[in-house]
Amino acid sequence: MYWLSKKRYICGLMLPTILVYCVFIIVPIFIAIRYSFTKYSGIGQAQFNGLSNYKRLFSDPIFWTSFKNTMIIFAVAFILLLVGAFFIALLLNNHLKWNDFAKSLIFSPAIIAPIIVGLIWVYILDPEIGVINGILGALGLDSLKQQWIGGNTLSPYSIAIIYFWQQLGYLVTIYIAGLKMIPEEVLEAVKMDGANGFQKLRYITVPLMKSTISSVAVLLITGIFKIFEIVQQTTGGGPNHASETLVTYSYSTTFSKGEYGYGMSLATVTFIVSLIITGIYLALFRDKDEKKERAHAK
Amino acid sequence: MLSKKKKTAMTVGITAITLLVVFPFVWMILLSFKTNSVKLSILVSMSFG
Repeated sequence: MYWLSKKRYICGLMLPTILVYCVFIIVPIFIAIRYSFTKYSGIGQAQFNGLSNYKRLFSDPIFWTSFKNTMIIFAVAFILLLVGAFFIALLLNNHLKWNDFAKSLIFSPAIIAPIIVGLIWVYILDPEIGVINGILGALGLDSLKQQWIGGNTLSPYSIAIIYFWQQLGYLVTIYIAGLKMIPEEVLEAVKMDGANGFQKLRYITVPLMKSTISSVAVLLITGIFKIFEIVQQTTGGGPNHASETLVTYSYSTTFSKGEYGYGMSLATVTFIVSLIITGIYLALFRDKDEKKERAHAK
Repeated sequence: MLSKKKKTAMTVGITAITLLVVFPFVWMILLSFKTNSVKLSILVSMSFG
């Protein structure tokens, strides 16, 4: 593999990827940021208007509602999926009779389009025609009936649950792949040392799964900030923007109202927020591991 | 090796999780066999008694 170590070959091999990445990811981001400093209706020339889109954004109550909803969805879905998927993966990693069948069924929501996921859940969560309120009514528990979607409070929680349902199988699969990477000898050694289930989990499984957990966390952070179809299908951001998220608000501002500049400022803020959260997560968890590994190597 | 009790508990847990995940599909499939008017009448009768 001598030839691969030469710098020009490395550069040559990386160039196509870097080019595609720049053209399809980096350049559109910069174009969106540029438009966020302009007033543009989609027709004619964009007019530079400095920071006025950002000033408007921070005094816009719908932006803060969208931000709050996005953060609620993020907090609920992130914790549920990061922890829930891990424990379900632990369960499914045992040699039990129906495990393979269960794995395929749990993975199944991940293969359907998010817009269909939204449609399915409308018939479950809708306060008038949804099956949950229907079952509660049939059981005589009318006091427990809620406006699961379309109300003022529960919509973001419901969207987080829908996202949990959709992503569970995908993340469980990633976790199972990580669990399979743990060497059998280590697990055997722990068993011979007399460690109980909790100790095995605390001192072996979780530390050896840290890189997988980090990957899942980053996938979740970026994924949750991109939830669009579920919100659009279940509530459409309503009533009166009460269940709007940053992405749906950005979309409706840009394409329904035709305010491209303001919509791009919303998209830029969403991008920055997700970047900050990912950065905080990686700074808190990944750096520590890398520093430890480097110290061990020395 | 897992004890029989643990295996049973795990199987029950996995079955419960799988049923919860599968329920929306089952509901969707059941509703897909109904006409719109029947579908709405089922849902409305469930909701309002």
